[in-house]
Amino acid sequence: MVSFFIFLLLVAVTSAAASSDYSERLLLRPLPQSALLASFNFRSNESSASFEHQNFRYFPRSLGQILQHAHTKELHLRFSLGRWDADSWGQRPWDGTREGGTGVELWAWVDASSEEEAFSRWLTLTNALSGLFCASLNFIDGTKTIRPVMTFHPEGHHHNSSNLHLLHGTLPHEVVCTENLTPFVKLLPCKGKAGISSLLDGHKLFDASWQTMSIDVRPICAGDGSDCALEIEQNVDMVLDMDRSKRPRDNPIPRPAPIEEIACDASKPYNAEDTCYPLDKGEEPDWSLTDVFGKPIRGACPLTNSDGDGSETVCINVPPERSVQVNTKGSYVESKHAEDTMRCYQLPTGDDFDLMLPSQKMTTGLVRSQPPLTAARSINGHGQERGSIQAVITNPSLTEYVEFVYLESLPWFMKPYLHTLRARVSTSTENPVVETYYRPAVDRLRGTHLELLLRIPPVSTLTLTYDFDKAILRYTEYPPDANRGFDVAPAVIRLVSPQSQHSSRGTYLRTTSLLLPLPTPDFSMPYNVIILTSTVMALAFGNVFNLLVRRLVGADEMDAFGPRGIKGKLTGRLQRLMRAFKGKGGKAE
Amino acid sequence: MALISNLLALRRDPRILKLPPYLSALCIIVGVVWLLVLPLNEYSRNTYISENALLPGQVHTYFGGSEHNIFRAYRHEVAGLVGKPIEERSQRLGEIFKSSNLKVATQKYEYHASSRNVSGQNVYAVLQGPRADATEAIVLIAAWTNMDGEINHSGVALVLTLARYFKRWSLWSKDIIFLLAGDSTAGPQAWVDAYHDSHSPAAIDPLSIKSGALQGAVAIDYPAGPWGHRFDKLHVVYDGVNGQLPNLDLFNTAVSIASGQMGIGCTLQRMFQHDDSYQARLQTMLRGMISQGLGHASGPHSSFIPYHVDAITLQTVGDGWHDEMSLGRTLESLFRSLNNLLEHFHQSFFFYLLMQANRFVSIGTYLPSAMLLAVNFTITAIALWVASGRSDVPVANPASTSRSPAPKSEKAAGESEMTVLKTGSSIALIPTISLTITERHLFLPLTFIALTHFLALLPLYIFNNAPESLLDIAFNTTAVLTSILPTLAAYVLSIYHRPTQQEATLIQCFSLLLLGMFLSALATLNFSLSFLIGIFAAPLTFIRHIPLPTSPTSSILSKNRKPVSAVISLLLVAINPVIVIRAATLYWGKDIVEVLVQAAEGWHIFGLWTQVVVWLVWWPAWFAGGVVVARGMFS
Amino acid sequence: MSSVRDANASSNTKPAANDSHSPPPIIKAAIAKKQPPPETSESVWTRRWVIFSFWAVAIFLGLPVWWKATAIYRAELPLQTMTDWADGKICKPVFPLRIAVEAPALPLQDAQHLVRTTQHALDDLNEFSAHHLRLMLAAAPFANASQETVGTTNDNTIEPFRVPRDKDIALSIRMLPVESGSTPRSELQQYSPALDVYYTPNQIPPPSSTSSPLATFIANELHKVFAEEQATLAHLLSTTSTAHVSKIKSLSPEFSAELERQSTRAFKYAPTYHLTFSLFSPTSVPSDWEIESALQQYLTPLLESFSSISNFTVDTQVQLYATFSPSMRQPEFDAELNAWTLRKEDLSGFINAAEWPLSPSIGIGPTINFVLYVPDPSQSPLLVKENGGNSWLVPQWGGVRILNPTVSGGAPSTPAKLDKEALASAMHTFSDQLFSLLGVPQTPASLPLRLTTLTRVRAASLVFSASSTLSALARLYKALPSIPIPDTVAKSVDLTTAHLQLACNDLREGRFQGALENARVAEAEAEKAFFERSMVGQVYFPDEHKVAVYLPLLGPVAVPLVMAALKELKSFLVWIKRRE
Repeated sequence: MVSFFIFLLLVAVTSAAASSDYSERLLLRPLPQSALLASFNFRSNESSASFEHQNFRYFPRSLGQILQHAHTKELHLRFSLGRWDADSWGQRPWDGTREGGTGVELWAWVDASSEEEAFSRWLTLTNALSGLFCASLNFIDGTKTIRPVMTFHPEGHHHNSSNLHLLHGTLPHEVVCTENLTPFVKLLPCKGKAGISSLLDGHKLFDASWQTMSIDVRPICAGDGSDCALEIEQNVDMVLDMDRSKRPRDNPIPRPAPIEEIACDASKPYNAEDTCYPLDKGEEPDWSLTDVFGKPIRGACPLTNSDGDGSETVCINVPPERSVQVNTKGSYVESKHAEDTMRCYQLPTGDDFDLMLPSQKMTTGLVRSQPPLTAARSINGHGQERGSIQAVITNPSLTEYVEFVYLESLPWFMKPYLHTLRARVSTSTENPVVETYYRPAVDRLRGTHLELLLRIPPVSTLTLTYDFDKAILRYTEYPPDANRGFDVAPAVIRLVSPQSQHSSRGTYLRTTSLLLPLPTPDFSMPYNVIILTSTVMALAFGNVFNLLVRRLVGADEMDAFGPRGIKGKLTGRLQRLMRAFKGKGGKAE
Repeated sequence: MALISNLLALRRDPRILKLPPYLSALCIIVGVVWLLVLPLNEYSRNTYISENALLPGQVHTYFGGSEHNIFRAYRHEVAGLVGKPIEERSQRLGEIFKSSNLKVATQKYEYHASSRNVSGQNVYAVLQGPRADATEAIVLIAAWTNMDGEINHSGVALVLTLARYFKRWSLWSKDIIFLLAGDSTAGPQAWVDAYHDSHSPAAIDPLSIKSGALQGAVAIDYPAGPWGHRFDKLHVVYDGVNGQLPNLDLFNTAVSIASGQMGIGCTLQRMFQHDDSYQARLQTMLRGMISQGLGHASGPHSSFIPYHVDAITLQTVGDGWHDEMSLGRTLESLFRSLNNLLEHFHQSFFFYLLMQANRFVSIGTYLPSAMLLAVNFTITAIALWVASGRSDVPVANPASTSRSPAPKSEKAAGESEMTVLKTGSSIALIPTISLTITERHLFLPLTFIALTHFLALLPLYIFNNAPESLLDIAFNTTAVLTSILPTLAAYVLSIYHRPTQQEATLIQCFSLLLLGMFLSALATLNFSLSFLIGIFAAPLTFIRHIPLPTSPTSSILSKNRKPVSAVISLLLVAINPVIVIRAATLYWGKDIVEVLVQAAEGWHIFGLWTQVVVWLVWWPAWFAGGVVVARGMFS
Repeated sequence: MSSVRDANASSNTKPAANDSHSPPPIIKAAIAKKQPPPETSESVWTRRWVIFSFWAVAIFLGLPVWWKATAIYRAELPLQTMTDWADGKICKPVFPLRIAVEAPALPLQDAQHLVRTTQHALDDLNEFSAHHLRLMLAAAPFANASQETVGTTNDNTIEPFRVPRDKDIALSIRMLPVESGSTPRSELQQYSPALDVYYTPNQIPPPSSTSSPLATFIANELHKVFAEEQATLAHLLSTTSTAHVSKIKSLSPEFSAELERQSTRAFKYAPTYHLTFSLFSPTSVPSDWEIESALQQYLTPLLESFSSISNFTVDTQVQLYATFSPSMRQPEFDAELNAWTLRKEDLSGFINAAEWPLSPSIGIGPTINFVLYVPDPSQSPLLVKENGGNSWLVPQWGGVRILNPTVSGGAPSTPAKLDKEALASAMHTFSDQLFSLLGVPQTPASLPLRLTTLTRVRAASLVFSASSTLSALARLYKALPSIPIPDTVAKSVDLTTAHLQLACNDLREGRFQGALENARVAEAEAEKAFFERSMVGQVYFPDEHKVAVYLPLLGPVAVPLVMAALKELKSFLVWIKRRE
């Protein structure tokens, strides 16, 4: 069902993109456990001619200039936070093509004549973007950049794809927050002042259980490659926890509700006025856009065309029996799709628009389509010098094999041993690894890049493990919070077969990022270390030196020098001098 | 600087052999005294929070109100589950977790130790922090049964309630894992092993849900029945397996929140009445040292510490006016503090001795005492080595400045014939004795020591694997055998007129050398164990093989050596490790079998190596000493 | 250890052994035995060699390695010349302008005489020696052609016949004899650097006379033409470098203030400027404009004429829902103007820097912003309160123009799309603003002249800024002895000085275009040298730290070495003393 309505959504949006050059759409979908999936989609495009002449209308000038300056033909930028809970929320929106790993992920096709040139342009691109989005993208340097082979394919139409270079970088530790959202919204023609973008609010967005912002720029051409246009697609997908989001901004603390408001299970024997077993009333909670997002939609964005699919900018995907009330002063149009599980609305221009869903006991629900693959990755073992990574990938399908690409991009200070790479399938003994692409790391220059083409038989689990060593970093290479550990970028998984039935972009999913503890020195101690080592060296030197230059006399003669101690030594030296004097005298005569 | 040259010069100084016994004695005395002065204000410090991120007790706590009603309900639920089959129990607990929208999973585990089956099932739920990215997690534990075997009613109920309450907060920057362990020791161990994938898949299920790296763990032990019980104090348990300790910051945070914010007093090491006197401090410290020395699992938290996950157990004790809500608020505040952590615990101390809830000594202060104990063995060993190189006939000290040398030594000097040496133009005439080189016969001593250590593997194996029914017999027989074994060995050797005086010295030398080495190394890992063994092994420094009377003028000891040796070896039996353990169990009124079973469980479940130290370090040293002495009984 | 006994020691033992019953000898023996033997001379010498070799290693290996390892590399810089440049000791910029006089109608001697007298008059007028006009008689081919066209005063027909002029000629005077009209009169060409002077033949000075009204007239005209340029240069010299002040007579304060204002308003010179034209609207309309064709028509020719000085890139954008910054006072309605007005003091806050995406373009060179603001129909027309104007200029940033929607019928309505005509007026405003932002002087009327003037002024200012940067670098070099100076810095410094020299020469010979080029390079190099990144790394590593690090190691090692050396020295001296 999800895939179906995404399919519908895609069709709608693409047709819209053809007719007008700006379109937007909001898709709402209640999920189990009182979660709400809100997925915003904005598209605008610029004819490549006016793009070349830098006459920007809907395409943001700041981004456009960056792309031209860095000779970037196609760009994909992701800001993500939290986890998509696949087994209770089902398949990912957009089949995971519009989301990234935790933190920031960026990949782009750069036009360059040589690898070096491509890399230098990549650096200029990351630096410029970091300025534009207030993210530390400029930390994507050589050690965090890889050149994937099998995982990513260009979405746009590139005609001179001979000298295009794909580069990919991630920042798992980057914390996505409001300062990234503001520039993101500024790129939109309606700037959150009108249209669905008026719902985007930092406080709500970053209180979500899962949220991802994406920017995709790609050239789209007519079949014969004529009249090309540059399309920018911006997505914001989030899963809001309704209980949390409905809490008023001024009183966000979840104080225990007064006992009257809690439904108690009176059937329990011990039920009393001071004892209450909470009963979850099995009905859909009531909510409205104003509750969840803190404000209603401020009318339609006038730039979208006022008729056709593109005009239905708000869609909600609920069972037909669910009652949905619209609250607006303006005029709106409601239309139903996909046997009424999908209701879309044309927004009134200039008037607020709000959707209200009363709490309701449901008899039917929407079918949740299972994700084709689930993956979990973790670091095993403990200790300072080595560990091992384990990825567990399950193919729930009963019938068909799943073939997919598994991409790992590891930091250089994590040194995997490829010979320890083991891929076991629970049901069969055949080796699931079809193809391997491995580019080993070089200390302080580049990270490890591992791509595997794997194959899982139906209803079976693949366990992928490999060992690694932890390098010891230099004193200055540690970040300020060294003892937190170092984040390892999520692994990217792309399905090769079965092909996703409703988009050419394929199906992606990503594991969570990992925290790799490295041996950390005590940073308060360098001077003590210097002192200690020097003392030891000095001690050794002193002993050797003394052995070489001291004169050794018999143990019994030691007594001659009377009591030990400084005084004794001094007198002893004196006497020895005199004796030497005498001895010479003896020899002389 | 002149170290080496001086040593070389001193090598033949006869005084060097008279000194060591006194030196060793001094080391032992200083070491013990050192430990005894630690509780004084001058040598111990007040605890303090050194990780700024923790901000203990800086947050308002809101746990209360209707949560209290829900808590009572859950406690009734838990009470209803007592005696139900394990599957039903965990399934029901899982449902309660599910009802507050958490991801739940269960884990079966089964251990075999000394024909005992330790099996059970863990239920745990993961709260995915809204601000978290699955890289870090903190654990809240309640074992179904606590260390004393009581059902942990309120503890489990509290965890369920807190899970429901925490879920509503949006500020968690780490995942929170709520673990309801099947029991207090094996359950958490199985869980944490599986979490780090170092478990034996045969006996323990893998975990179906995992989160990020564990940053800390807190266990609740609150065995109040369905009608509740108000407690007086919190008893903070912190010893880990093999005497590893959690970071002191975690302990301090818990104490400062409980006592500072909630006004709940904190005790440790079962010192429930602790007037801040010297005796009380010393007693607390010694108790701490003993439980650290034993290195057994003292609570659900113990299993986490070997994985560098700092953990403590909060145990409610006494009758007072604090109720479950104040405990809940303590935990809320504690978890808010842990949630603030930006980095893994690293600031404060990992090696410390606590003598009160807010008073401690750090490793820098206490380590010397154990080191001194260890050093005394080494000193004696060196001395014995030097002695073994001496010829039995004493050399007259040619350089003695004393006006009146003892007559016989003068005579010896007179009778000793001279040798003439010529080098170049210079001629030397010196007593021959001082030129003769006495060579050491190393074969027997080395083989003896090696064999002893191999012999010790036998009891180690037996006690780890013998079924429970046989343990008692096994122990007593071992006690008897080990006690008479030295005498036997000595007798057998004496048939072959071995070991000679020198070999005896060498045997003792090597055993003491090893002992000193092991103990000094051990002191840095498990101070208490090293110290205790050092104390018990101290007498081994001073026993000697009593030589045959060489001349009528030789000492009284050597004249009637047989009775003396007999007496000493009898005395030695008293410090036979086995006997000592037996005595300890009697003193604390523990059942020896129980102790042994626990040790075996420790060996199989927790990877405890206390018994290794006992059998492979302590016992061989004692045995060698015994043989050396007992040799004196046979001519 | 030495178990060797000395001979006499052993001889003493014997009696001790024999008569053992008598204690005294034993004691004596014991005492006698105590003296250790003297050490042999070779052992003494080995000891000395050992100590000596230790010292040798320390001095000849240790010290150099340590020195090499811890030294900071500082490339040599020509400090003196750098400071000299700043003080203007090396180059005193002069601006000799060549002015060709074309007098086809005159006989040669007369023309030469006229030129001479005019030159005299000029030199008398000119009070700024550095800037000085030199008249010269242009060879006039096609005399006849020019003669027959003389009648017609229309230049356009003359254009094709004009001889291609040498680039270094700043201005050419064409002497055109006429009969009618008031003479002498002059007229400056709009689009070419030429000054036409009309005279009646009788005004030609006789060879005898040293001065003539015609000559003084021409001189005055010329002086008028170049007055502003002179003033600007003079002002530049006086402000930027101390060395020149002496020779310049003070300008009138208000005039210099005016110049000051112009220079502050104008952008710093750059080889490339980015022009950004933005359409802002508080509503959703107009969302489109015919900017492309408008630029083609109004701006492109202008930019081409600038191409000799700088290059330009142009980009445009449309920004909707652009609100004022909340801090700014909102426009208020003015009844008698019947318009919404902004106060002058609020204009600075008009640009909502936080919200409006006016980030500078990527790439080197400053960005000049031109903002076209279409107010909300409810708030139009929007004017500036004080002067009722609708456009203003933000110094060193760009220009703003408020485009009030045309009042169609009763209410003002904004079109969804602005066409070229609607943009025309705005484009004119923008081009004027562009001129003043680039620092193009107001006078004279002739555009080429103004541009060449700009060339000279820019060249001079670049020379000055480059040399001041040099001196700053020199001061830095002297002030911070602990910073490393890589070779690249030295190289760019050399390049800078070289190009400065070239620029200076070009100025002297009046090749202003070349001067500009060289000055440009010099400036760039100077900046590069000054902002070298690797220079600032070491600054915060004080010497105390070094001591703290070295002492623990060197101390304990040094002490025994020194002690042993002293001891040996002592014994050696004793030995020496013993020798004689």
